[in-house]
Amino acid sequence: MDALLLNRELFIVSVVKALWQNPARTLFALSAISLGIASLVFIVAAIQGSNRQAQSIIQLLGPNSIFVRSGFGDKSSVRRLTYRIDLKDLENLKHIYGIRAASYLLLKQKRISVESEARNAYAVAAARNFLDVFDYRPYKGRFFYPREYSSFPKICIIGTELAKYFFGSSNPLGRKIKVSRTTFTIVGVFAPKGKLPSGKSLDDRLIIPIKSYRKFVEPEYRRIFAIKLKLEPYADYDHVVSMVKQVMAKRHSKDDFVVITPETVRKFLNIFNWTLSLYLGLASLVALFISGFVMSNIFFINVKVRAWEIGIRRAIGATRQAIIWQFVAEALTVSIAGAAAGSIIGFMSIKWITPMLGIPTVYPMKSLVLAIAFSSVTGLLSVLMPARAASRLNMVSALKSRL
Amino acid sequence: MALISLKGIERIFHQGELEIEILKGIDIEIEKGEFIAIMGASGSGKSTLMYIIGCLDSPTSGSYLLDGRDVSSLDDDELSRLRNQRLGFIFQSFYLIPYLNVLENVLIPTLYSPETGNFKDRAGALLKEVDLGERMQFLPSELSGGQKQRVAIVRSLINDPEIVLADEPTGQLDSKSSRQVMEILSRLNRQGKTIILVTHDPETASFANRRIFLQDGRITAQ
Ligand SMILES: Nc1ncnc2c1ncn2[C@@H]1O[C@H](COP(=O)(O)OP(=O)(O)OP(=O)(O)O)[C@@H](O)[C@H]1O
Ligand SMILES: [Mg+2]
Repeated sequence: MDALLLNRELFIVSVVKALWQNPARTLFALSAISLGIASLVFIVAAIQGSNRQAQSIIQLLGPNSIFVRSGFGDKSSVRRLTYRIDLKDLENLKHIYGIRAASYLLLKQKRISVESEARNAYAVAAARNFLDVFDYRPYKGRFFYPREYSSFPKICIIGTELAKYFFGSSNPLGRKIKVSRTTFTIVGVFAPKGKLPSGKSLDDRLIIPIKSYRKFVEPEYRRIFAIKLKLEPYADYDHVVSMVKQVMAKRHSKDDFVVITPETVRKFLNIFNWTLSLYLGLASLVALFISGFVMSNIFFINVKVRAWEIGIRRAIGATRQAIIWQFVAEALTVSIAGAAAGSIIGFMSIKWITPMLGIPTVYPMKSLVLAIAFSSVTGLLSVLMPARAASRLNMVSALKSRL
Repeated sequence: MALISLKGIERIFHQGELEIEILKGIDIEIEKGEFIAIMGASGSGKSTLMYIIGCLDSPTSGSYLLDGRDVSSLDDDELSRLRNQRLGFIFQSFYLIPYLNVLENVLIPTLYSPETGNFKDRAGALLKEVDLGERMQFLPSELSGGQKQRVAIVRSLINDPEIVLADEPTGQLDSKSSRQVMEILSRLNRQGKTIILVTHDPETASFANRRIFLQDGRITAQ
């Protein structure tokens, strides 16, 4: 090795030219390893993406809160979405010890228009504490005054995306907007809330005080989509959750409601993540194993075809170790090139495939290090046996193999 | 004391059940500075003997002293070092590495040498001496047979060995190139190198100072 290092330049030239000599073989080894690496990079991205998704769901729920969402009854009626929970449930849950505030989410998709421009969007009813419990923050203008919850003002606040859609960069405050046939005045814009895991934006909604909503938008509102509960800081979280389930169970079957807490989301996603990591990790290991196997075979072919070259190198003084180093260097060169190519392919598939899977698109920069490490290890392991075989060739028969 | 001293060298090959005894007890002494030709018919074991002298193969029995040192006591790394530093090889089919240019081919033995130094200049000077100064960036495939063999000669000399072993160095060359190659070997011999030449061709062998003949695994005439 010391001698090889002294003549580093010649050594590197020799390694690179040897690979270049047979581009087909090199390319084959390269594509094997890069596909393995690409799947690895993609998997890391998928895991990181779903982790990020988990974080955003948890953030959306807010800390110390419980979400009770309506189920849709038994599965056969999925297409006729009638909510199963109602305001009576809210009344019952509100009184559980440890709950600070409770509100409900009632919404309906409506035709929204400004002058001749129109689109569908969700109109949301805001009860007195809705904006507080659901963590809305003002962005422009104002939220509703207390008296506006008991009269029937035709006012609303809208999300930033809706504002952008109808008004572009001009000020939406004071502008008129029609929900079905009623014209409302925009008094405020709420701060961006981001997207649901499904990718649906929460910022193209329009919020109307509850009484106005009932009068002008949707008269029937006993049934609601979801209830959100906020806990006192001192509350025993798990106990409150079990109480909530108990109270709900009194009036409903199991299919009628889903209790969602940051903890259940975290648990579910943990299991999901774990399964995903395990499954995909295994898949990428298999991919790497296969690429290692392919590479190993290519190097065995290399050793066979280039036996006489090994023979002459040995004759003119290469030690067994020097021969091993030569092949190791060739394999590492292919591996590192494969890591680079694989990362590019991986990043491209992240760009194209993760949106289809509904996973946030994340480019895991750390996986570049992982790619180089994994492909080097794969390269090293796969070249070990061929290189050893090369170093142990009988010199005389290796030389004669050319004839 | 002789530079090379072989005593009772036997080489037996096993082919399945069959035992083929190619060398049946060879005794030779080669002095420093000699130019010796090993001759004999095809299949008589000339190359086999040369591989043993060149430490590429080891005898089944017998003793081989190089400079008074028993070669059989050396391990693989020591033998590699010995081939690298003290022996130079020239073969009938050149064995130039096809993807390396002339200069790189010539420098390959330095890759395995512990010595440092300006090998590039040395390679350039040696290539000039064999009229290849202008061909350093050529690939082997772009050279004639005679040119290839001259590259191989320079490669064998790059680490300045004492002994040069040549197995049918003119076997693939026309008569003009053959003469050129043999004249280079003669010159090297005059400069003090010990040359061991294997050939079945009397004309080639005539450049040597001493000829030995192999027949039936034995030396028949000295
Ligand atoms: N590894 C081996 N196994 C079996 N037989 C072998 C082996 N190597 C050489 N032989 C046999 O030994 C004999 C001598 O071979 P060698 O190459 O030494 O002859 P040579 O004198 O150099 O002939 P040529 O002039 O044709 O090169 C041949 O018959 C060959 O078949
Ligand atoms: Mg021969």
